[in-house]
Amino acid sequence: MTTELTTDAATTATKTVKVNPDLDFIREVMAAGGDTLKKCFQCATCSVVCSLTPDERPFPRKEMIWASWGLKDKLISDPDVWLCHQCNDCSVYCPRGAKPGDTLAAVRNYMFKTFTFPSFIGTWLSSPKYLPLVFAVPIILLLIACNMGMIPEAAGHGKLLASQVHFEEFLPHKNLYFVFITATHLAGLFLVIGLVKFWKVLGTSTQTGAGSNPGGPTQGNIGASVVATIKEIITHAQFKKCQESNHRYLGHLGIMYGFLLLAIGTAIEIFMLYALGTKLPLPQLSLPKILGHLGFVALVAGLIIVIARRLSGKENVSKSSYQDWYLLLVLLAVAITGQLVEFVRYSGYAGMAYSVYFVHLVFVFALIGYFPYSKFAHMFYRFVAILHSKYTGRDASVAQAAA
Amino acid sequence: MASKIGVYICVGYGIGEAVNIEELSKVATSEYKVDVCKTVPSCEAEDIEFIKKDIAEQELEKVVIAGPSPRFYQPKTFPPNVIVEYVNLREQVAWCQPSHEEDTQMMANDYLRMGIVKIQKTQPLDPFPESKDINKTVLVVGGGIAGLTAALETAAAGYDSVIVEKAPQLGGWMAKLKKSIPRSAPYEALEDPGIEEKIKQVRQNPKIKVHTSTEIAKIKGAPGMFDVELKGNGAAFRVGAIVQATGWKPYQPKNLNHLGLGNLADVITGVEMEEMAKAGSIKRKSDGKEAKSVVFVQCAGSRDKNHLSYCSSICCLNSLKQAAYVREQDGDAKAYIIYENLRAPGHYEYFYKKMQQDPGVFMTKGEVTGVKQNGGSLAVDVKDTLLGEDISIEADLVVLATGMVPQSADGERIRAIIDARKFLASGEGGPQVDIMKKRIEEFGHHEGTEILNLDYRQGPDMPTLQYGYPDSHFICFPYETRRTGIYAAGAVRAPMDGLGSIEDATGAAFKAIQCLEMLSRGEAVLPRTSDLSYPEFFLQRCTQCKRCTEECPFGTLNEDEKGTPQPNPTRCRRCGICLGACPERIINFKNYSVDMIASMIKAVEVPDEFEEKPRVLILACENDAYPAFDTAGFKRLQYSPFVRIIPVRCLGSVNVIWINEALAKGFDGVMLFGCKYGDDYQCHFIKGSELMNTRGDNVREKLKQMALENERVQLFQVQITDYEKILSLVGEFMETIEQIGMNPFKGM
Ligand SMILES: Cc1cc2nc3c(=O)[nH]c(=O)nc-3n(C[C@H](O)[C@H](O)[C@H](O)COP(=O)(O)OP(=O)(O)OC[C@H]3O[C@@H](n4cnc5c(N)ncnc54)[C@H](O)[C@@H]3O)c2cc1C
Ligand code: HEM
Ligand code: SF4
Ligand code: SF4
Ligand code: SF4
Ligand code: SF4
Repeated sequence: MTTELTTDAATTATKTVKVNPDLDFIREVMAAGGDTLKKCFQCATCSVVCSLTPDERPFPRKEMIWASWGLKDKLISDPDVWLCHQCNDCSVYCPRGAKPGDTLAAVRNYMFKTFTFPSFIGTWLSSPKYLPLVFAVPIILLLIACNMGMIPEAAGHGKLLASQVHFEEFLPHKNLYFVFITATHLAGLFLVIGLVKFWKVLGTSTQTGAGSNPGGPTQGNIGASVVATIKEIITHAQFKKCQESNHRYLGHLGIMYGFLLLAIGTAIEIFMLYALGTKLPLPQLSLPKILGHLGFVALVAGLIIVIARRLSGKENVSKSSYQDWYLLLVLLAVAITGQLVEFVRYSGYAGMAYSVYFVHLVFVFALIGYFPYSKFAHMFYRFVAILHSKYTGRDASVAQAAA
Repeated sequence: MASKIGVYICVGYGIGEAVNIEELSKVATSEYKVDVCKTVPSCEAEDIEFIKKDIAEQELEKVVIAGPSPRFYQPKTFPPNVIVEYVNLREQVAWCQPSHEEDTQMMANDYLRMGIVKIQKTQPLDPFPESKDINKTVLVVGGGIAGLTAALETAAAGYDSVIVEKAPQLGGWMAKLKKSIPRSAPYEALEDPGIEEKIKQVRQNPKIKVHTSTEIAKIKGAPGMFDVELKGNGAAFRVGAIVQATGWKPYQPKNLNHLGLGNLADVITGVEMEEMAKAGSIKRKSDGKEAKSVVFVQCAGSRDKNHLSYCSSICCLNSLKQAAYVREQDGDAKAYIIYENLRAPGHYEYFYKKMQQDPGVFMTKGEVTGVKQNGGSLAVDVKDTLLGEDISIEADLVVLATGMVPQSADGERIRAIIDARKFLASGEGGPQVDIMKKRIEEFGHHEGTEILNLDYRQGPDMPTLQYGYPDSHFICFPYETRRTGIYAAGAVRAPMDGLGSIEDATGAAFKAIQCLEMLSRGEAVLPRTSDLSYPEFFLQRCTQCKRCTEECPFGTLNEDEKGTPQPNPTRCRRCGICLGACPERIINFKNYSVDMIASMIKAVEVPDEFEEKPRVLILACENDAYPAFDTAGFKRLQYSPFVRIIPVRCLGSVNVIWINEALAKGFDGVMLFGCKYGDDYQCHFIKGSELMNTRGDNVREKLKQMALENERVQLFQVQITDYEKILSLVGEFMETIEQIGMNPFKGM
């Protein structure tokens, strides 16, 4: 791919804009994993080596100077921040060790932290020092929700048959739904408000419409844009182009599909439970269970690939942020405690079963209770940004590839 | 009484195969009847031993060794009282001509004739008499970091020095800085300028005498015997050499109105910013409020043909430093640097990197198109930025990075005004009057800028090279200037930082000491290092034409009231340009004279038959062109056998009489090879080849008189690496000669 660097200036509108660097923004992005951003000296090597950037006004060079100049508005409205898949091809080749890959990730972390109302929750999820608080919330909520009387009883139970382990009795489903549905719906509502704002703000970006081929098939056509976006995501068409970390997309495929299978399995289970009145626990060969087990394997395999990559990666190319680890470890914990719940239930130790179940629910809350505020929200931001760029012609090359 | 001459012909290295040695020997024995003529198998150590023994046994005074080029091979082991001359039979005959050819033999014979004639005309050398009287004190003009360093280094080498400083205190600009850019590893933190320590060392050093609040009133004399007189305290003393370390002054840009300099209170220069920072806090001039947003505009009046065309090399670093001041003053303050290219040479790259890391420092390439007052603050408009659009920055203070200009005086211009005034005062009329008046108008501002006040015919200060810097060729002759024994160092020689000034001053101090030591042995300094010869003037026949006093690139010659030259051998570099200039041919060296070269030319046997054997004389500068011919031979490249090459000290040392002699003798053409001249000259004596070119008028005049074609005499500018070009030039010239035909004076 050739990147015309000169067009960057050539296509620029000549109107003068007032700039006023936001020092706090710079400090925040530096703290959120972008501590190297100021090292950039604008050589544009990164934009040349990036396989994902559109040819016009390529990223991440311009994002680097915007970050270095604290131009918060520009970065918040920049779809390119989300078109970047953090392959880190740029960071490998950057002659200054400015780590553009990490810098864009830090901008995304900043968005998770601040963009969705109420932003104090974002703050909780942005730093390990709030971790106790992050876990205290679900623990307290779930403690209140569970059948307190059961606790000593459950503790007193010896070995039971699996069918005698009654999670419903320990934590009545209606209480459970109250906690989770309220939390996720509230979060979802805020997220949707945030995403609408995000869509609008994307429209103000200077490179909106500056695709390699404006006027491509998706431009101005929302239906076609949605199809193209979904197609791109399910095939990982862009993710695959990463050079440096080329098998990471496999890991992500596993995680994404694993997660989807688990989610679908759970949905079917709920449907069977209420619509069909099926009794729990379901037999091992029922559809939800099969989907669940497949999902578990895919998710964990994907996580192993991705975590191994992070552990073996070179520090001078990329350093994982707290947000990265939070998502990976919480996902892993959800998957593992979920599977453990199965095992302990069959082992018949009720006390243990109930405790593992409780822990599992705490992690599930950590994952989906806060989803607009953690890196978990990436899928929504990314979806919106990819869609927007297809719709406005920013991402024409990708649309063509997908078409 | 003729001296006893011996000729030793080396037959090794292919010389014995290329030419008939017996026939060659006959030149020495039958034609010139030398006292001894022997062959040696080669010119290795044992052969030299043999020659030395023979010299002693035969009591020879002069020896010709015909063999390798003197440039590749010049054993220095002969007794000092024996004069040795080398004839280049290897590189310039055997290795560049076919063997056993008649033409090759004729060439070798001619070279041997020239060699013998040359040595016949060479007289033994004695150091010039003034060498016994060399004062070894070094005068340092200017007490900035460069001057202080020069004095300390001079003292450390065991020599006395005197510092003359115009200001009441020592230290120069370094003493006016709040902090210095980092000068030691890891090159990240600002440092104390460190000048106080240097001043203390100077004050305590018994070998250094300091005069402050004074300037030079007059310097009379020449290197090794400069008589210095100071203004004010009137002190008078003698020194041997001078280091001029008068530093820099800020460039005062005019026509930077679009940047608001001069009309907006909050637009200042880097120098003013430094003063303000040193005095206390960084404030807006308009209302005294602390500056929280400061925009630095780089290259304000630099690297711009309408202002300073050069880079001052320090202002980028200075802006980085002052950005640090701004940030230290207030953690939320912002410092912007708008540059064309941000230049942080060498280790300073680390400092740049360090400053880059500061969240409150913002840099972009861009062009500042305007600075305007916008309510209480300034609006700085920048186009072509790295941010992808034209931007406007709100600033409390705008700092223009203006460059530095040398605190020098242009000796040649000052002298031009003095001459013009003299002319006008003489009451002489004619068209000259207007020219002189114009000159005074044009150069008038140089009056009163004198620094050294030298008593030199060519002006009271050093000639400057470019942009007012009194430098010489920076690659070939670092630390040198165009005045022997006077060395420029620090920011007066080239724009530089404190570290560079220290290095520069150290070099200059050693150059000064080296000069004094060589003078006291009667030797010349660079580039004819160690040469004992010097020009002698037979003034009885002088016509006061002043050519020599005008043309000497080093200002060697003063004039008495009548205009008779007054030689100063310690100022002289031995280029021989005066020898070339003198129409009376009364300037000569003991081993290089008008008569000597003329006799060599006459010694060549010019055959009458042009068709087979034209002859072209090549006068080649011994510094570049002559070695290029050697290289051609070394590479076994062949060229015309009809050329005869004579090395000259400098093309400027060519006396036109030699060309006339050659043409009268029947040479069909003369090629003159010198170095490149002009602003980026490569001439070892600065002006030599250029002067020869201007003398071309005389040559053409002569050609006209003789009814000869102009093409017969041509000047070429070449450098030492041009061995291929040189041969093609010879080839082309031979063709031209072929076309225009025989010199009609042949055989007359
Ligand atoms: C804005 C700015 C900031 C800088 N900051 C730094 C920095 O942080 N660090 C750094 O290393 N360098 C810095 N420099 C460069 C530094 O100032 C020079 O490298 C240094 O001053 C050169 O020293 P010098 O001795 O050659 O000249 P100067 O410092 O100019 O000293 C020359 C001396 O000669 C005296 N003098 C002049 N004329 C005469 C005369 N006719 N007779 C007698 N005496 C005379 C002067 O009074 C003066 O004392 C800066 C330069 C600029 C323009
Ligand atoms: C709209 C759909 C999705 C898109 C476009 C998407 C895109 C991406 C991209 C580009 C990355 C790499 C950059 C980064 O680490 O920030 C990534 C990472 C990740 N995604 Fe997704 N994703 C989607 C859905 C999901 C889903 C459903 C999950 C499952 C929970 C998921 C889990 C993860 C994880 C765990 C990572 C981190 C990988 C690592 O640490 O290297 N993603 N995603
Ligand atoms: S991030 Fe690195 S590669 Fe990209 S422009 Fe900056 S210095 Fe160059
Ligand atoms: S040092 Fe920087 S500001 Fe000064 S002239 Fe050179 S490039 Fe311009
Ligand atoms: S012209 Fe050359 S040789 Fe003659 S006096 Fe000047 S420096 Fe010396
Ligand atoms: S060039 Fe010769 S004649 Fe003329 S002033 Fe000099 S010495 Fe006298």
